[in-house]
Amino acid sequence: MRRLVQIYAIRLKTELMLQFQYRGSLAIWMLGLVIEPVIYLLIWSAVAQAQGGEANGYSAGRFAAYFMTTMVVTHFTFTWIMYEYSYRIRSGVLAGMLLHPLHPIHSDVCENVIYKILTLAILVPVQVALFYIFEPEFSWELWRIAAFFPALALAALTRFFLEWTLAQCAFWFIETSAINFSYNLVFLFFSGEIAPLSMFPDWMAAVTRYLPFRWCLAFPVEILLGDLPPGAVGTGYLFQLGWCAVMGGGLLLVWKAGVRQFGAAGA
Amino acid sequence: MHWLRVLYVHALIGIQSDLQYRVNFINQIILSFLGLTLSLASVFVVFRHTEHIGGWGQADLIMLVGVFMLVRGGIGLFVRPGLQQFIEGIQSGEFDYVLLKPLDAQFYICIQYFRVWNLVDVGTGWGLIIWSIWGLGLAVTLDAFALFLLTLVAGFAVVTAFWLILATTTFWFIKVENIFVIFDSLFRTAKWPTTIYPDFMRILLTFVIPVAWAVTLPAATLTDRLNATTRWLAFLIPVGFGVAARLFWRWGIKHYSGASA
Repeated sequence: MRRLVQIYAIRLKTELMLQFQYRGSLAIWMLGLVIEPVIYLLIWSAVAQAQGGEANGYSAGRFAAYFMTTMVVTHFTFTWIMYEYSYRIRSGVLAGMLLHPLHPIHSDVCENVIYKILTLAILVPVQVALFYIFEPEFSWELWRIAAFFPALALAALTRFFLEWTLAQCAFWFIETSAINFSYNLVFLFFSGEIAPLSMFPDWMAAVTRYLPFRWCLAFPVEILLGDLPPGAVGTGYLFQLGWCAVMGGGLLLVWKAGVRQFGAAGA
Repeated sequence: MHWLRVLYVHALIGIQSDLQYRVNFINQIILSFLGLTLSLASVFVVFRHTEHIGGWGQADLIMLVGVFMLVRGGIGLFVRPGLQQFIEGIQSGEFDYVLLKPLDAQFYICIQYFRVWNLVDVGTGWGLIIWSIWGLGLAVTLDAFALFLLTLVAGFAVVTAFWLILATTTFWFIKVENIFVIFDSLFRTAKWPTTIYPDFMRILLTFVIPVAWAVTLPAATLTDRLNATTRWLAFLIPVGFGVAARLFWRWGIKHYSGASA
């Protein structure tokens, strides 16, 4: 355990120096993350305006708060492992990684954490600007803010496990861009990224309870916005923990099977 | 005429090489269909709560999704893959051979690679447009339709010019993925009518990053939403961006010192 802490400390430091060199690229990758929620914010504000100020209980200010928060949650939870994994397998990088006496997931964790911290330098000013432009209505209840952070952490963990598991499809398919594309679309729709889930037809909102995507994005947002009564927050945590465990277990199983079937390209 | 023949030959070569990978075709159909379903679903979710946004109704938006797929498919047919090859060619040094060809290099990089699978998106786009007119009763006059075809060409020209300007920056910054990330992020704004954006963004999306405008424009023409000023812009902006792309390219070529020499 102490050894792992030491390894993490060193990896984080190298990762920091590595990524800090590519400041331009970091800024460019943030472009999509910022643009997407702002588009949906504008669409739903237009809907609220067309309805005389409120649509389904949401005013323009509430929509602004919702999509500003999805931007933050997406920032802290998203990963790019699914795009990298098939390259790793095809180019033989993974074969080299397997020789290390350490699971490759650890370096991915460090890479992700450092990226998120460095790009805060972009996210924070963007959020401040959005705050002044769109005047969001948050409900600043203390317990909600406190409840938000564990939900955010669990969301990040669940999504990391989920996408790391899916990325390993590359062990069997090699070319995974179709899988990635489909996953992205499904995630976009069922996670609450395009609309608060209460805007969906009831049956669809019910379906999202039993899919992992909502627990990776909409749930922490709903906590912070005051959409959920305390009881629902409690059951939400249970759902998150459940999905997190399922995905973590899935990751281990798929990893075992994948490595066994891996024929090492490159060499 | 000579240029058209070169375009034709490259299209033929592209079709022949792509047809070797037939499974890709089925793949593309499935992905296109999935993308379409979710685009339409998000339109339906929005229109559960309102009859119009930014002055556009549901049928108008379905048509706009059609135009979006049409433009994306058209650009994906040759401009995008050709420019991808150009960017990679600068890194590998292969672009030096393109410069030696007795054909305008900027034209050549746009047409050098033809991806026939993108015709699926083009077809789906037309399907949506036809559905919105006949199925959903969007009122369209023959004049409007003729003007629509013209503005569609203008839209393609603008997106192509914008892509060319982005790709030309490769002479200075050689990082392939980033240019794709920039374009794809910006092109997302085109899925919705530009009227939903606040004024400062709309100006930005018309004069600086006209990708959203290039999709909204034909759609607005078809449903007769164009006023006199925008009608002028419809032809000024493509010309302006075309000239800019050309000048920028010349400047870039002057800076380029070759990778292999």
